Amino acid sequence: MVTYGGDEVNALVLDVGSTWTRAGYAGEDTPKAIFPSSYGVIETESTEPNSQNGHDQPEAADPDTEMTDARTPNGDAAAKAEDAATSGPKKVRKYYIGDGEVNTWRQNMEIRNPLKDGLVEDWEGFEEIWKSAFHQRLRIDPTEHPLLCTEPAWNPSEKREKLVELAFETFNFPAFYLAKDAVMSAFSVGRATALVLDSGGSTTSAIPVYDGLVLKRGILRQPIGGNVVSAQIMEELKRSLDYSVTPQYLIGEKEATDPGQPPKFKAKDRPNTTDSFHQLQQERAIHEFKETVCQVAETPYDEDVLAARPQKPFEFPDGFNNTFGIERFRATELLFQPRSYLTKPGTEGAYGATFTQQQIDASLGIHQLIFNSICGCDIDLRPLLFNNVVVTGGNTLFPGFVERLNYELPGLAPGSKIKIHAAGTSTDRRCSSWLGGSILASLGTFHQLWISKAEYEESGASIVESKCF
Amino acid sequence: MSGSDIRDILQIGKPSEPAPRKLKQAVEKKPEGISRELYSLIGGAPPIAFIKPNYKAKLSFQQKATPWEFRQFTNPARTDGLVLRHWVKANDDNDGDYYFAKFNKIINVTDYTNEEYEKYLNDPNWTKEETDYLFALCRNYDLRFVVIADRYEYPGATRSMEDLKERYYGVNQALLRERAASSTSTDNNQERQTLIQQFSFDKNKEIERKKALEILFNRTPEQIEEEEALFVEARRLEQNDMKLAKEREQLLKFLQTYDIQQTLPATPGPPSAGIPAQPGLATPGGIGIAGGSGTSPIHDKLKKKKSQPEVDTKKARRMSNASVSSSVNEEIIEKKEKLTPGVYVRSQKIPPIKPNMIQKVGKVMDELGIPIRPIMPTAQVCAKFEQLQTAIITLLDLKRQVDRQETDLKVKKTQKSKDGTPTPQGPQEGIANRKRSASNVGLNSRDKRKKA
Ligand SMILES: Nc1ncnc2c1ncn2[C@@H]1O[C@H](COP(=O)(O)OP(=O)(O)O)[C@@H](O)[C@H]1O
Ligand SMILES: [Mg+2]
Repeated sequence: MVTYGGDEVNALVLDVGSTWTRAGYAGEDTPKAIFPSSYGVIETESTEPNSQNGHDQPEAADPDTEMTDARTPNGDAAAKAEDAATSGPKKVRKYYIGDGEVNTWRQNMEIRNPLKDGLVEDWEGFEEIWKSAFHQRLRIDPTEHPLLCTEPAWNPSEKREKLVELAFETFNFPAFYLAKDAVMSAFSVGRATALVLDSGGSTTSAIPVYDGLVLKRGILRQPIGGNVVSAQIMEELKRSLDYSVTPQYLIGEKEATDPGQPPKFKAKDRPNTTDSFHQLQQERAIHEFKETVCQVAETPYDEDVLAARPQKPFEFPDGFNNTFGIERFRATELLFQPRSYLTKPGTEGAYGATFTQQQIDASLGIHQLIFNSICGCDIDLRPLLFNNVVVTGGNTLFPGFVERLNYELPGLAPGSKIKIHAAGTSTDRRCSSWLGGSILASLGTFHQLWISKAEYEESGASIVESKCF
Repeated sequence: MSGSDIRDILQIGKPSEPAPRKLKQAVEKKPEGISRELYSLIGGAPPIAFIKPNYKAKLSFQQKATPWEFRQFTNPARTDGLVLRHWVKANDDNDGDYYFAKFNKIINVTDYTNEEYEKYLNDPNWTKEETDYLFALCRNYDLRFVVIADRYEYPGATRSMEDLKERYYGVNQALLRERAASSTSTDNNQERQTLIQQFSFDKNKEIERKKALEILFNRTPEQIEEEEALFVEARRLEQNDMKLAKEREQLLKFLQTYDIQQTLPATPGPPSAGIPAQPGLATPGGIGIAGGSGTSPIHDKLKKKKSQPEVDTKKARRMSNASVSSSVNEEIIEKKEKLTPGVYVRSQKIPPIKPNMIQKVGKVMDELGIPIRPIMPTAQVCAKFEQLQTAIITLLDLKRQVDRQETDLKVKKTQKSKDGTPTPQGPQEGIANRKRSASNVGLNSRDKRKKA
């Protein structure tokens, strides 16, 4: 126990990313629970008196939860009736959290994501995610476990303080710590000093970390992540193949069709479907396409060369199938050449990727992002950072991504020794910030850093600024 | 000797059990497909004594399992008495300090009083408040100036890392100096001085250094390439130079050796003015080649006779090399005095030929019709034989040199002819040289044969 410096105190680790939430026990190598951060919510006018379950007794609410007919058989139970304190006594919100819940069609179910740009915007939904993580998934008593939570490096102090309040006031954790996700990612590959490139669902960021501390002036980020890639793929499919994907929930019967032919299927009757639900389902289909078919060109993008590469077949849920060649590479090129490959504003049929010309002009390729971030740091530090580029986030999982980076970076910094570290397995790369947190919270030397409830009660939420930096 | 004898000698009691392993070994079966004889030769399994027995530890059911307890603990590194719980072995009665508390190292950042600040630390560029702020950051971030500079946000001040370092080290230095001056004890003065030295910070130098690094960092690929190419070129030139120098030296040495060999015996007593007088410096042949060897007076005389005609022509050249050759001679004298201990036959004393030359020398000897070892190794024959060997080696060496010079010359000539200038008559010299040495060898060998 002592030899590796670990000392388990049954701490919990929670990482709420823009796409996935990961929760688990410190000291383990994968989170116990991984579920989408997006949740479903149905608002109804309430007349029932028994839906007055208070916030302070979340567990009591659990058995009372109505069983919905759409519940998935695997017991992925996260649906929860909750009285919305802010929106008047008459409104009742029912939350559906978890992979099975969110993707089950329900009338009038809105899909929301509590995060925007990596920051918490919708605190109510965020709280629901916490509840779901601790009560439904981990099934623990929060008063018995210290909690380590990750946050983006650019989290402003008000949001940090709110998180502290949430942990101590709402959930009654005995101890809490807020760790920067970039630092955690660096820890997860065994580094205290690194340049962390994290490309997740909504954001791509380059963050210099020195000795376990984020250098704030070097932080660079842009809202170009996996979601933008998916949105552009959707546009591209519409433009070149005149195809728009029909998600699984609408499909009754389908027939096999020849490649490139319009799909033949009977649509299910799904009245009162919300736009957000439809969009999420469409995105899901596209994500799958993206994750199985797309690839990053290992060397600078050259259509003639890449067109000669083998094609890959893919069938969408509605039966539409085709083989994809150059499209596989074109879709991801925006990560490295956003100025040329992002859809211009005003393009017809543009889906999600709505960037202004100004934003497009300001966008940087991933290699440029890394380079600029490092150049924002002290000259003495640069060799160290170049030698410790840590690549993480689901969006970096495209085959060829690391190779491309390995090709582009030396061109920018010709005299520097560059080394890129990327976790081998996809879970490790998607959960790197959770994993770093898991390592940190199980170290014996870390336990002096927790913010304890006593400290919080003495100094208030602002204590987070002096304890977690 | 039986086992009981050994036990007697070592004074060990009888083994409690009769060794059952032995019995087993005797029973050990011969594997199929190997003849009995072969098997007895191989000896079956290797002796057990040399193999560490590799038993699996048996699960002990008698011993009680040590229970683990979920125990509360407080961390002395904390001031709030946070109680956490972890699993420990029940017999682990380390109720005292938390194991990991000792890793809580705190860096001491100097503190100063208001009074001290007023007296010694005033700086037009810094207010007390800002200095306090800086020192708080230093404490907070354990003097990691990279982080301090990154997080430095004092209203109305933009400070570079160098500014911060200068202030921090300046304050420390001033405090150390003043406190040293005011303290009465002088015994650790030395220590204080070195401490003060450690806190000196040259901001301009640091800025300069970083600028230089920045320039280095901002080199374009072309510049780096050029730099690398220049570096490689420089290395190449250097190596070439070294090679040339080495070759020249070799040549010089060789010529010297040759000269000395040819001329030295001809100068009776102290040689020419250039060489410092060395009593008993009747150095015979074999200088610098294959080590020194015993010489007989006859050898000397013979040599004298034979090389006489050449003395004059060589003298001039030898003189120019005098200083070097004298040192060579010294070496040889030392070697000569070495006597092989024990009994030996005379022919053994003939110096061995360098391995890479053996074949070539052998070939020449063969041409001359002389066996590779003297048939009748009398002192005289041996001496002559040795002389012959040396001469052959010299000849071969010279030949090689000449060949090289000639090819060099040829190259130069073709180059020059391309340039249109006629070449001087170089090759003849070389050929003459070779002829000379060849005739020399011939003479010697003829001599030798006569004697043999
Ligand atoms: N194998 C894959 N190839 C390409 N993209 C992937 C892959 N796996 C996940 N992604 C994308 O990565 C994004 C999620 O990354 P993640 O790091 O989990 O995000 P976050 O930290 O924001 O929750 C999604 O947009 C998803 O489509
Ligand atoms: Mg993330």
